[in-house]
Amino acid sequence: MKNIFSSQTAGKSNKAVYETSAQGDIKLLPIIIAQQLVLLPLYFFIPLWVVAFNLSLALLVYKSSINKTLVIPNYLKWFITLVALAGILYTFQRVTGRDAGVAFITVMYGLKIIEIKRIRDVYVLMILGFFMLLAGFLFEQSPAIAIYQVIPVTAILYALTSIHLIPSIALDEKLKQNFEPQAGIKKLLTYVAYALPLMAILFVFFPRMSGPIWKMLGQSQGVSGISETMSPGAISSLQLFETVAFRVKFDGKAPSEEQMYWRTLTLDHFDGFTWSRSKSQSAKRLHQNDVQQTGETNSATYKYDISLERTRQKWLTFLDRPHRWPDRSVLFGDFSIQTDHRILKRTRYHGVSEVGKRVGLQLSAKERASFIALPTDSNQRSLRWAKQQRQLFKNDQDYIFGLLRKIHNQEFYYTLTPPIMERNTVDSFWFDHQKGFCEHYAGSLVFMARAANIPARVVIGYQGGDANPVADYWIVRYANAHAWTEIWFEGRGWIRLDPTAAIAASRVEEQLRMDYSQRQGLFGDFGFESIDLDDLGWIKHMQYWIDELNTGWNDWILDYNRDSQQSLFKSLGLDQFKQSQISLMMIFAVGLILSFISYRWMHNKKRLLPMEKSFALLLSKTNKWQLSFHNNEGISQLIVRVKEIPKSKIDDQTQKQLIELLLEYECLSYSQTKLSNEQQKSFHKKVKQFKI
Amino acid sequence: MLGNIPKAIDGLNAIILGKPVQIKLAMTCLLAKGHLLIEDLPGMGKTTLSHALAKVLGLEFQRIQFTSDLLPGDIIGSSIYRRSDESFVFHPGPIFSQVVLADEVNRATPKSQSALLEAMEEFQVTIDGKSRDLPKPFFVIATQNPFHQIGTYPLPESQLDRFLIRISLGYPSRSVERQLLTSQESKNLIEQLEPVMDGAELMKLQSKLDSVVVSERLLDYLQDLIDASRVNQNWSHGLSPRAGLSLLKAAKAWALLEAREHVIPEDIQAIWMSVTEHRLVSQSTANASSNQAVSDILKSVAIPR
Repeated sequence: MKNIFSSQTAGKSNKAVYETSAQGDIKLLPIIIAQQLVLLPLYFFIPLWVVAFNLSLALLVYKSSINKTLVIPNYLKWFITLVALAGILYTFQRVTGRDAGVAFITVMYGLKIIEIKRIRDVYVLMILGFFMLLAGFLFEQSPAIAIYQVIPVTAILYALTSIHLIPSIALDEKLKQNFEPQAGIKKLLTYVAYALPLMAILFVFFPRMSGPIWKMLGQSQGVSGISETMSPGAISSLQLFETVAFRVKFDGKAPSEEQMYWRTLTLDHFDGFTWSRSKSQSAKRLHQNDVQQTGETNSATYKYDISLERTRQKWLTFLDRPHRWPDRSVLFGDFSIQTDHRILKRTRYHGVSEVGKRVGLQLSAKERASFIALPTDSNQRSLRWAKQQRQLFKNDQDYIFGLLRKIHNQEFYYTLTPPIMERNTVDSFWFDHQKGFCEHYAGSLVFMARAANIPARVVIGYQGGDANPVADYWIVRYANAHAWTEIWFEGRGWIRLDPTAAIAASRVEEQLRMDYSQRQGLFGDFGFESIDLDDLGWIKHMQYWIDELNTGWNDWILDYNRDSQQSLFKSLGLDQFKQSQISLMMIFAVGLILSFISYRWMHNKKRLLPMEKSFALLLSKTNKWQLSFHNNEGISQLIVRVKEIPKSKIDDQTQKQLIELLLEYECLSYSQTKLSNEQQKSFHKKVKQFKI
Repeated sequence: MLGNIPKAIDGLNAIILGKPVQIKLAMTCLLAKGHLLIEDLPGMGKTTLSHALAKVLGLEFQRIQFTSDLLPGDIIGSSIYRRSDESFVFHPGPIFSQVVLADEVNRATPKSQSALLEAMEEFQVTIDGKSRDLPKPFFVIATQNPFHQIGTYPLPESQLDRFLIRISLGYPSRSVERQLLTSQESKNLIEQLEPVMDGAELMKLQSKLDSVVVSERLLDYLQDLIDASRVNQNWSHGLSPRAGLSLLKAAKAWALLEAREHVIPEDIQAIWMSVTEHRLVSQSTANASSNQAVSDILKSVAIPR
């Protein structure tokens, strides 16, 4: 009874809506919401004033749509537009390039809302929205932004239907119910879901370009993490970047975290201020055979795959010391590995390393000279001190360990904010400040060694890593970047020594211990009470999940290029077809899905309710008697006809059963307000069992 | 469950020969607390049916013959000055009766018609600013001649809507007519008729209507029918919500007469014509009677399974 009344009143109000909209009064709220949802991701990348401008414009338009007396005059619209354009030109000095271009079209798109007068304008604004959604991908290609797209797409579709379907709503009550906000959005989401298989097919099979179509201007060229030189004195504050440097997946067992020294390159030349890599290092190339022969008994071999993030350098990172390296790269005499091209995107390679392997047992006179070379015009104090100290020890090894003991016992501090040291950096670090981070320690130790005529070099790379407990791989971040030393001893070759690890744990800055747990392996031996991050619970856990998601996203979505497409086709057995044939197949598949969906829509078949199903089944079983039962007839008529079946065609038992079933159906359908699932099921079972 | 209703129906069938469906519909109307409209030519037995109905159910009966000079006061009564105690005393009109036969209701002026119809709707009358309840049960049987006869004021649609059921007796069949011609005068027959129940019992039966079960599926069917009447181009207006309620009430009463405690689609189909026909005014003829399209709706709307 209530239903009858409510549907009546709802019908009237809809007629009213239709009449007002015919006068050109468009409901603006869904349109504004859709527009702002489209722009939302862009708001994080464009100047703040553009955001404020767009939002206040939307608010103004919304206000004026509610309050009919507030009309935005045309001259004001012109003025607003000119101000916006001037603002863009003032901010960027141009309208091309990624940042300026996107800010420019964002403003233009934001301005579009004040032009809405007719339904046609809404179409333009909303269809443009689909294009605007792409702009977000110029800045960010994370899975989050891709998932977010569902919301603005649905909002656009909702806005379009809300203006477009009003005339038919007034005519059709049932259709109207589909477009009440909640039910409508649910319906639209199913439409979006229909698009998913199309999206997947087009993504996989659409012909891929061999390279990017265009190169974006204005992207940051800065490199964090490891650089090819090291100037400890010039840095007053080291930022710990959580950015991932690379991920490692061990094939078999993994080394302990203290053993994870990820070697990138060595620095052997010191000009008094900066450590750099001399050209002569690259002169000697090692071959697979050279390395394999130097096996050691107390070493352990590890196999692993590294997926290196973009570095914009040619150096590859390997576990110390590499043993086997990719074909398209070379291993130099200092065990640095270089490819023939810069790493501009995530690169995956396989490596084998032997931890603890001794190398470089023989050192030529020329090499030896280059590894003890120091500038004599600076750091005089250290040079003198080192020579004196060397006298006190009977051999090179004792001298070096003496230096490490000094670092451990004396007031050496580990800090990320060391004082700036301009001239004589080693002097001022070693004698005056005694505060610094790995680069200071490594640089000074090598300096002290060389001053005592001991060949030494700085190694830079990464230390440690973060095991992803969710998936079987390790994450190494920029925060793991590290510098250590290699010192050459007669008869033992190059020995890795990490002076930073010698610092007493109590002298590692408190703040650092909290932030810098990545290096817990480094300080662990000195009684450093580490914070177990695994106990931090679900947030950390989530981060690992997200990292895995991102990795998968990068591997499968962003890195899906021509090559991976080809290899996918090959594994699907499609490589026998030409590209054009595959494209034809793709078009065919898309057409098939589209026709299936449209078939479903046109023959909008009501899904059978359980009782309907049972009845249809029962009726189909009576087909052979040709009862000519119409859908507007009641059960009693059907029973009458069943009774009229001649005895020759039906036996009493069946007739009785059939009538009983029909009576039960009628009783179930009408003697209760609502049927339980069990009743429907048991009736369906009975109908199924009924045999003729 | 039905008490003496079957007996009453048998008694009526003995007097009104060959019209069992119309008698059952009249009974349905009574059970559903509605009012009955009998539309037929003079001499078809309208008055006889009303008389017999009141008699067999043991109800008081009054008859008002509507004429063009009938005044509202003639129906509801009036206050008359009494000299002995110098006050106005209300003399109730013929409407203060359990069964009222409004004969040839379309011959009276609209003013008088509406006095009757107001009483039908409100179950009370207001005289000199004072409301007076009508007796219970209260049942109006109105008869009317077909519209096109001279000297009639056709009831407007809004007032036709007040009648739950409209029936039409029609000519008897040949064999029934022969029986009529050979049997006693109907007046005597009515006098011989024994009442089988009284007003209290009837009201008890009427209250049973509330416990008749209506399933969701049946409501689906009912709403489908109503929707079909609203989208149909044959009428200027579809069925009103009140018509929907009337359909449900009548279907419940019909189900009760069938000795069933739940409504089935056949019940709705049985009462469909007599409940809706007078409410759906044909666009082309402005004539409420004999509307083919009304029965077509029953054929076109499928019963939800």
